[in-house]
Amino acid sequence: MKLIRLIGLGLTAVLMVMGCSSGPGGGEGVVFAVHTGFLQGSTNTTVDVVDIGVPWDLYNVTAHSVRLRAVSLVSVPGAVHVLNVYAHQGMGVGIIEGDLLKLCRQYPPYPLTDVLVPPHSDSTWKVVLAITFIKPGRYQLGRVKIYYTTNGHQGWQYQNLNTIIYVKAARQGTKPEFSGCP
Amino acid sequence: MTVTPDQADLDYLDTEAAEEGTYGYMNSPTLTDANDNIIGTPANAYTSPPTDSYGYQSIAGSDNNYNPYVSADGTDLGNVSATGNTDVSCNAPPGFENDVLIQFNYLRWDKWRYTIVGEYHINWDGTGGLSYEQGATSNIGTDVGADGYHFHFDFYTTYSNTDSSASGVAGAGPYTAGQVSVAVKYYKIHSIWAWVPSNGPRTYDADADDHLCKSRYFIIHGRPYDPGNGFMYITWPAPGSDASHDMWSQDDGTNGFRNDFPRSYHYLAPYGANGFLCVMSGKGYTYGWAASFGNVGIHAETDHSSDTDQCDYWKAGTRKFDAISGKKDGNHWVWGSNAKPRDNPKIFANY
Repeated sequence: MKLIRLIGLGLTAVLMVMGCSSGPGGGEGVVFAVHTGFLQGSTNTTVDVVDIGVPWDLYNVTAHSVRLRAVSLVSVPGAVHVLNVYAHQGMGVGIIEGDLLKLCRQYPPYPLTDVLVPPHSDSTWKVVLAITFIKPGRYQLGRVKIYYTTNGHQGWQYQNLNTIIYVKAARQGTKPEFSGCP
Repeated sequence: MTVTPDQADLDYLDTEAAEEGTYGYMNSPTLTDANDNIIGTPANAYTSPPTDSYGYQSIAGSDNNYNPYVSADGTDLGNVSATGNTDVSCNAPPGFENDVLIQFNYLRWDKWRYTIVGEYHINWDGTGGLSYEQGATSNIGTDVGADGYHFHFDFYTTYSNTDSSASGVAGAGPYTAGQVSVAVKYYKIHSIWAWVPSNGPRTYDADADDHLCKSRYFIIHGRPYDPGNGFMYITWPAPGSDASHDMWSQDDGTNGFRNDFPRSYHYLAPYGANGFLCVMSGKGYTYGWAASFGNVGIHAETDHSSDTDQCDYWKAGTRKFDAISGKKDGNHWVWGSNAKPRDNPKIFANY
């Protein structure tokens, strides 16, 4: 019984890794306006949760509704851990610090799959990635990959983050920064 | 379309003293004192000197009776529509078929003006600025008129910063905002298009051998200007100066958020501790009064690029009371003048 449970856990882990590495699939196709011409960043420590908003708005440039499936960082080192990616209603986020799920009840999270953007429209949803950095360093988060479904087909596209995070080692006893709720 | 005809020449009325007596001169946002320090009101840059009912501005006085469609002989061509070649007056008339059509340009004056090319806004615990490095480009308006006295904005031409010693503003703040101006040379040019004999000297002297087709005056920018007398080629209000603080108090902080509402709300985003944002794409604000000659306001706008980016850097301060969130927090609220902060706004302001 124990062996079966271990095999089961192992299989789950393998599937999770496969899921992470291959992504939800579909072909590349731009459905949201790509944002350029900005550079942003912040300096944080290894205990901070850094919340980075995907450049708003997710303006749907196509004639079909687009539903999100997932959002992931592109080409980042292993020291970058994405804690969660949620959609929110209301205000977008530049870069702020804090565990929004715990500290900002007035900014409730929704699954990305709730995000449905009508044709030729701005989304009222804002997507925020909560990230931690377990090693000091300079991290360039250039792009995210947005997975979506539109017109019955799955697809994905890049969106620029143009973000540089400088991470310092947190001294013992350092508390995570909390800048405030959006 | 309707063609504006040549008109009686009033260029002789455009004197320095007459220009300096105008509303446009005295209220120019880049008005300077005797030491070439800018003492104008920044808010005027977002407006324009007064225009008449046809959209014209008088360089050396005020004139609400001007009609650009009345020709030199008093004929009103306002209801005459031209089709096809609207430059028909420059077809060779009988007897001039073997002549050549030449544009003659006569310099009437050259002057320099500080010209606003952009701005920056810093609030409570930030620093930042607006770069304007070698390679930066702006679009500066050319004004055109038929009589040398009444002008209207007609088109932009590109102005390039060729001065490697200029780099703009950096490290300004906190509680400061300012318009960045560059010293630019301008020319008033009288252009005459005329048919002149092809076998003689290529000059226009209004005699029987010459046929005048069209006459227009232009106020057009030249190159960056540095007379070398110690003043700054590029300038902005000193942080904490009256001009800087006045602009900040109108555009940033609680007042700025309120003055810009509801745009400030729709285009709002928070940045936390030790963050920064630089906008380096799109176009900056289009100033209708970036400089002036008499009542003629010069238009200018700047192309954002890596040479002309507005950047703000924030520290890790905490507010006892954040008037936007209504709580104690450390958020730095940023809003674009016409778009969200990462959507290439023309300007972004701070709370």
